[in-house]
Amino acid sequence: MLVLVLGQGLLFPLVGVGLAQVQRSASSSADAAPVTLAVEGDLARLTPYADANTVLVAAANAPPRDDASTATKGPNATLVLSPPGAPFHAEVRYDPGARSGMTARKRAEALATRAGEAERTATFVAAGAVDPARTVVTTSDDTISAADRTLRLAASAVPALLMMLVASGGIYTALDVVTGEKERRTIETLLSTAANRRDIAVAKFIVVLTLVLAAAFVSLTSLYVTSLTSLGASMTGGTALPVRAYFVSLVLFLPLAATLAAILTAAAARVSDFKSGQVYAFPALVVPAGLAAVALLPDATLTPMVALIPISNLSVALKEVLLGTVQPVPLLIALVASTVYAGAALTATTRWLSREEVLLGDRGGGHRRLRGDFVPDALAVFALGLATLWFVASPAQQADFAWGMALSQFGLFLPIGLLAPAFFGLNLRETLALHAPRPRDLAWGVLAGLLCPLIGLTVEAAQSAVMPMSPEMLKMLSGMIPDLPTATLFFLVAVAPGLCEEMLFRGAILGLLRKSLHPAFAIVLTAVAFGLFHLSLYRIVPTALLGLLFGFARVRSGSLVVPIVMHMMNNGLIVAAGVAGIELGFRPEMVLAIIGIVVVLWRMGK
Amino acid sequence: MIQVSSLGKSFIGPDGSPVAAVSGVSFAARPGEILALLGPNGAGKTTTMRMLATLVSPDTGTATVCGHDIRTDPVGVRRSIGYLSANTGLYGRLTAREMLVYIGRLQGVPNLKARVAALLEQFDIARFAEVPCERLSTGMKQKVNIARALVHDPPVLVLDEPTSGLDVLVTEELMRFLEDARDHGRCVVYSTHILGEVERLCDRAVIIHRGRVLADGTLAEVQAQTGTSTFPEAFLAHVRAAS
Repeated sequence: MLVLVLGQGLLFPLVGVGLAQVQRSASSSADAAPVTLAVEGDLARLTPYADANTVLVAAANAPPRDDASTATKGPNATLVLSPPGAPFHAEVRYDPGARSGMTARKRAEALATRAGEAERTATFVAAGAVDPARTVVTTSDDTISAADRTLRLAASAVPALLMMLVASGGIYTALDVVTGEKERRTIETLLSTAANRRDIAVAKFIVVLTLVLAAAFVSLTSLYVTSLTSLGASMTGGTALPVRAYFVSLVLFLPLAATLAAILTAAAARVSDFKSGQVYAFPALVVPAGLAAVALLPDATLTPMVALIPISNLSVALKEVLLGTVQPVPLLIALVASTVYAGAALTATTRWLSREEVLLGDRGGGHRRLRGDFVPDALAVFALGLATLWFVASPAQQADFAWGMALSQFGLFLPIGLLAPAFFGLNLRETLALHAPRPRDLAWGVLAGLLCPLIGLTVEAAQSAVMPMSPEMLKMLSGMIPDLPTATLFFLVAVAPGLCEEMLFRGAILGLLRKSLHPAFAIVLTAVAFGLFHLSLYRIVPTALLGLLFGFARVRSGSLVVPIVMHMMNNGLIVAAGVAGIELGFRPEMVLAIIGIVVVLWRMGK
Repeated sequence: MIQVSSLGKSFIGPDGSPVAAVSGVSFAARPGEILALLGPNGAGKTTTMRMLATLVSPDTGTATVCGHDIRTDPVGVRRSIGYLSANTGLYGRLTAREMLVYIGRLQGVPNLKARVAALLEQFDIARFAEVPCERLSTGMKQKVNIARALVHDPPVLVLDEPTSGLDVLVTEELMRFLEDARDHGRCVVYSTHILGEVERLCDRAVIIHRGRVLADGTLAEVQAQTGTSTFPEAFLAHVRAAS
């Protein structure tokens, strides 16, 4: 229940963080993207003010633009200039549905403003007087027809919408036929017959699949039929969907429905009653919906890479089928990949479904607290930590770094970590692993702590090869160490997070997860949560990896002290390098640190 | 007919460590015999019976039912067993007849229609055969459930507290049926907390406590081991001696 309530508060911050990151990376790449602007009017008035990435062509000479595609063959926007002699006025026409159109609009506006300002100054100097008229730049989005725009909007929204409709139909069926057997106590009746368990699992899957397929069929047919009527004309911009698009969409939905049905059946088998089913229904729907929502991005096209991403591939393919721009090769890749994913999901689900603890639920031994029970509790602790970080700690740190840092570490993270076990009725020392480590493990921990910054640098170097940081981002990160007395800085950046964040993550969250999950799985989940906790796309992977090392050290040594020491040393060494003015850069030899840390963690606890 | 050797099963306890529900349980039951499986709550009776019915698999040891090993031939075991417990519920939306037909199909019963008609007659279900199970009384439900366990005419019956919640009349019908089943050569493993039922029905008793067998023999033998004058006193003496 706590997860459901706190989860709501996290949605918008997380969406905000995601969008900010997307925007940042988009704007940095947009500045460099080449743009072609068609100019109606005197081209020469603009030419001196265009930058290297902007190509100006006379509108009369511009090649025609393919409206339905987002390709950048033709001009990306059109600039209409007022006639020479009249006060400077420019109108920018662009396509708001394509990122190239948005980029072109920004570039055209800046260009027209520069040119207009220059003309105004010239007029002002020539007349020796003040020109009261400001430069007027207006924008309109009429480079594509209203009909095309509506169609594109509908095509982008429909896949995600269909996915939600179909999945929400399937999830209650799955809960009824799988969880319902447990709740109504008929599962043992069923299992005591001569029927094979795998057959029972497959039969359950087929029921869910049938419902999902039926829902998909009804949704798609209704979409198609509606597009034929005058009612649907407003939705699809007056063009009826081709019957071919309808049939291709149906075929696309087959593997999609199979994947969904397998996920939903497995999720339903995981829970022991409807009540906990409601807790898992939301995440079980959000993940596929999020993947399907990729089609909403204006630039999402079915490239061979996109064709490999489960669910997203079919969602984008469906959009392109509706738009009529789909290419056969990526479509085929998407279909084959999805069929493979559906097969894998089905195999995993049946294998998993036939396990006795899954089928019989927690009545297996008559004990109340069995596997799985502490996962929602751990999620709730993480959600609470993230919420306080977002709503209290981050604003406080921005207002005053030192006091904000002290407040968030000692006033929020430490108490949450310390109080969580008591709140869930668990032993404090045992859950948080507040035991003295063996001296040998502590020594291994110190050695690992020395290697941690090198691991961080190596991972960041590897990451920047795939996802380069924008110059502003680098500037922001390097300017992060504030001007404070050295001792204060060490205390706030090394000692406090080492103690408090470890209490929350390796203490409470890992401690709770470990009670219910395999240790390896618990370590990985905690590490992912730790990565997300740093609220930055660039820091997810490096921090999650450090979290992995800290978690491993905690489980191997059986003591929270070891990861606390490692965390303090990692942060402390980075601060020390900053204070001493040492430039931290990646060198190939640092890769050796990975071997070192593997050896150290392997020896720990032995 | 049933041969249980050193069965053991552990579950994850509340603190995450394994708890042994059954450890090293062995006993045997012959055709035409009703074996009582006795013990206080949490003794491991239900877990033992669930392992016999192949609902859960043992961690250690094994058992054979009519020559089928519960580990290697669970389907063969389930074909020869009729299993009934507090957790074998009926499908509320099915009628009594539909319930029997559904389970009969899953068990692969030949001439299912005739078999179902015979069971409806035998257990006096016919008059409410078309009523959805969720609307039946506890006694009616239990009759349907027993018929359900017998639909494939199994030579072995594993019954976990079949009389709990039943009134005297239905209990009496059940007793008569079990005596009849024994006389027709069926092997019955029967768990209950009502020792009067045991004295009336059972030839032999196995007493389990904390997952281990305390006593195994005819009722007279089990009683003689303690020197008490009644069987209930003997049961108490066995359990108290082990506690």
